[in-house]
Amino acid sequence: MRRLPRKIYLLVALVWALALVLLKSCDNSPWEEGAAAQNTLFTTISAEIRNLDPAASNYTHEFAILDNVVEPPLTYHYLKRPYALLPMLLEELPVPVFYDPEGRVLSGNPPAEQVARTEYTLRLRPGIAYQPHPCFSSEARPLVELPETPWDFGPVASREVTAQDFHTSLVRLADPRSGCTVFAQLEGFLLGLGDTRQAVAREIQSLDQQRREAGESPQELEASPSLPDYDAIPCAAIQVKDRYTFTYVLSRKYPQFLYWLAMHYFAPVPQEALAFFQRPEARNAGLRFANWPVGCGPFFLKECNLNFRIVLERNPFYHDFRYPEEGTPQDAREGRLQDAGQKLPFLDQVVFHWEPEALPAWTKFTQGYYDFSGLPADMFHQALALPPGGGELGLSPEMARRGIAMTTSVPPITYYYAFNFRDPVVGGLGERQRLLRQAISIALDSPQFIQIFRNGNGVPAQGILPPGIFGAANPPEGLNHYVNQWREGRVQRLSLEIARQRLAQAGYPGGVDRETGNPLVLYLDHAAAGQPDFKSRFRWLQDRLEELGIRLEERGFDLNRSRQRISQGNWQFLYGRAWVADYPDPENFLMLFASQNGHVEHHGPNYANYSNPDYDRCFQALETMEDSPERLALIRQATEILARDAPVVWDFHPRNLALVHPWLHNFQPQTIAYDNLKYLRLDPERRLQCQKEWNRPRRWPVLLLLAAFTLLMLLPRQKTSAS
Amino acid sequence: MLPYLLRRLLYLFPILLGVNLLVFAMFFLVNSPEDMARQALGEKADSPQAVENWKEVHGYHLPLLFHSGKKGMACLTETIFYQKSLAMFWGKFGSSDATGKPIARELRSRVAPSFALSLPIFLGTLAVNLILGMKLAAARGTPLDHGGQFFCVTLMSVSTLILIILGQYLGAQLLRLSPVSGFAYGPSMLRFLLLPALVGIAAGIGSGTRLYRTFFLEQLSQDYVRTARAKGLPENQVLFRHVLRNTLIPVVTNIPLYLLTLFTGNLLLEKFFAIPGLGGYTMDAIAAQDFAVVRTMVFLGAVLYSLGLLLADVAYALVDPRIHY
Repeated sequence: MRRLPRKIYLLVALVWALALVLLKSCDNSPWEEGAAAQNTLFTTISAEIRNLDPAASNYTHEFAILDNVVEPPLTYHYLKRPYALLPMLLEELPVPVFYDPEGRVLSGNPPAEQVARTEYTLRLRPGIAYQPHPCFSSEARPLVELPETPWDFGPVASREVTAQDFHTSLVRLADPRSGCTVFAQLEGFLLGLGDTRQAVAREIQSLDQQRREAGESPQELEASPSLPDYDAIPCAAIQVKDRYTFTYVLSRKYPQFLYWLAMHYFAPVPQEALAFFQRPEARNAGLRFANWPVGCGPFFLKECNLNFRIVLERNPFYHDFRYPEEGTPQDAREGRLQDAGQKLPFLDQVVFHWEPEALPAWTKFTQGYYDFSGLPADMFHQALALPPGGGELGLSPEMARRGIAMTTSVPPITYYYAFNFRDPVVGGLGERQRLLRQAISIALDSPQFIQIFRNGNGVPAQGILPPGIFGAANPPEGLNHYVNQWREGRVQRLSLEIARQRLAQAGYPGGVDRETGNPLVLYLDHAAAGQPDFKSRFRWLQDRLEELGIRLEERGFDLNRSRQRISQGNWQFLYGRAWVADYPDPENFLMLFASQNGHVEHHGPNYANYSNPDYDRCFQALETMEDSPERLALIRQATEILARDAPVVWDFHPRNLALVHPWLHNFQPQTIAYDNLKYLRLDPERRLQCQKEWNRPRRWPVLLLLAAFTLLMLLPRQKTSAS
Repeated sequence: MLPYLLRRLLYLFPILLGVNLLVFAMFFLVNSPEDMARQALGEKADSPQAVENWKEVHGYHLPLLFHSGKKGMACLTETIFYQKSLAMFWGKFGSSDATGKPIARELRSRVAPSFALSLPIFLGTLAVNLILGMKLAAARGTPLDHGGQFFCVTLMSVSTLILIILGQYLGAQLLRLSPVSGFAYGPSMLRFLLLPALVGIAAGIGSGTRLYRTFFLEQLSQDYVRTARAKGLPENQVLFRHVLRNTLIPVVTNIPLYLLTLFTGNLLLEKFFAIPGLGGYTMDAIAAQDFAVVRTMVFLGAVLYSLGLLLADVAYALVDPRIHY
């Protein structure tokens, strides 16, 4: 037998040594050693975080972080449904005081037209402090040559939240450079906010001028924009009465203002933080308030690497806020009242990991590395199953064995297809167009759509109001009887025969125009060509309308051209629109059909450009009313007008599924408020046990491969002859 | 060679200016500043006032190329093209239009993870392709060669996405030896890069091995190989000492062209393995109509590609004594 060269033995030994070292240290945990044993929640971010500035942040995935760092004066009760407001930083809920044009106080609940001014006086709870931050320390300076986070400046300090901070935050909203996306809405009800914006702009000009005169170059001005002293700029919309008391002044009656007080736009902002991020060392290091917001919430930003991970840490100075003591019977059954009265927050740390793709995130959830998860459409059949004897869809046996719980929620979102009311074929209040729209609404069978395209996860919409909003009623009470019927205790779509009759009454028997003899062709306008399931959805729409003899063509444009066409009213039938509630009030939905919000004429959210004087009268009356039987009657009237006119095809309200591991407690899907992290409690010990049990490495296949490799290398071989 | 290099470096400026102008024209043919503002603000907040305010704050209120209201040089300098695109020549990349984050800082933080993934993939793929290509060429016409080619064509036919999903299933779910995705800075990075690097190498084997096999076959039919064999040199020495060196000429000269991909990363791998690199940066910027990032990435891409071509020319002269500049 020929003796093998020594280097072969060396190679084999090296491969074995390397493989054994690697195998010993390898497992599938994505976290650092010991991290799972900490009181740390692990979750994901899947969309780009653009802005965490409370003045400018405008996307719900950002709210999930921001709203746990900054706190506005009010919040929503964590468990109660329908949604109820609670004071968070305040002693009590503020009560409006109405004034007539002469400045006299109006008693009771006066009609909106009598009110010239409304005041809400807010009383802060003393002792509420900001998170620790170097901005509050007069000795803060960079501790390293190239600071990367505010924590590279030291030392940290805190201070009490005062009424003046709310003045700072409101005047900052008026700063044109703050990027406040809701300024136009705020200007519509806060007294003199437009004037405040002009005053801020003048102050900035004056500061720039002074800096230019002091010899600073335009580049220096651009690199470090002037920061006005917001405290010194007067603002008619807010009056600071004392250290803890301040008053918001509104230019009209606007009961929805209380909901605005539960949004981060109204969170207090310390002027010290703004000044800190203006310092040259902070600016040169690329640190911005928009990435490092400072607030008085239950957590503060410890790490903010937006395309890698964001880490929130418990605010040691968080004020005394307790877990709710009331909830629904379901909350009691599912153990969400066990922590009633406990001081919040429970978690020490929250880690948001960047997960741009759903599949790896889902895999990590099933391995126990993420504590809760949504259910990606592709994983539906892995997670859910029908019970053996039939019945409602539930968790698959494997998921149930692991103790995973499923919660469902219907967020206040309504999906619809819009008709353009400026289009001569489908638009307008004429009987012919109305019947045509009703016929199409019947044909586009939303329950069928939900079954085919959403795995049954949705509630067929009867109108614009989603469940849980005042005025929304379940069928049979809230049934849209122009499209559906109540039969044998459930909702049924009206038959296609009825749709054909309405189409014939509209002048299109069998889908042919009686006057011209031409077939009826409708155009679906969209910017969804890139969406993976658009083709199949369009095919479904085509098939449904084909049943009536209507031909549907698509008109796809890129996003920019599509927006342009919508703003010009140059479209006919709009694909897949949705409205997500800003606050849980029917006004926030019904305004979508007020003619004053017409998109073409007023650039408002009434994309259908619907205009009906009867509806407008109803809307104007209910817009500024408190919830009451009178308001309910007006809402019913308004929804009945919408059902009859069918300016849109009501599609569905989505039903979201969330899966939660057994070691995470108090989980409740949040659909309006996003400050839910403080309520969550973890059992890290159980998590660690489960992770170990579910993820034992399988090393034997690798060892087998190594053995095969060794045999291959060490077996005697014939010398290859030269070819 | 020095005058040649200087001349080539000087060529860079008109090339980069042309690239800049082309990107500027293409971007603004499709998107107007108003479109950019609407995209950044979101549908609920894109009132005309908010759009105008966004343009003012982000410097897109100026005319695109020529400011007719100004006199002298200001009619050229008070424009979006001058202030946004030409500023890159003096290293001013500005901030992202969508996120406001400084682009230079973003590039610094993203380039290291991309490079850490791309380098082992590049070296691993090169090594595997060379060895496999050589072995298949040496075994030309045998069942090993046919089997190897079948394997290569199969790998070429499978999309990278399938390889990623398969790799994640094998590594993270079946063997449970690697995290399914994620990243860490410092030495723990290796745990996260092993699986994507193996997938990346597997994705590059098919076409690379077939290409190198062709290079080797060309060399194996040369006279010097026949001479070496006639002298009785062992086959491994013929292959690794003589054939490999001559085959490396086209390989080495192509290496500088890969420089670009080493820095710009791999879109699919970085996305599916959640690696915070540059792979998806440009694509995300195009989707977000973020002109600041798009123009910077194209500018840097053009610089790297031009430098890569220059280095390739230098490499030709170094490895082939017949070439002079």
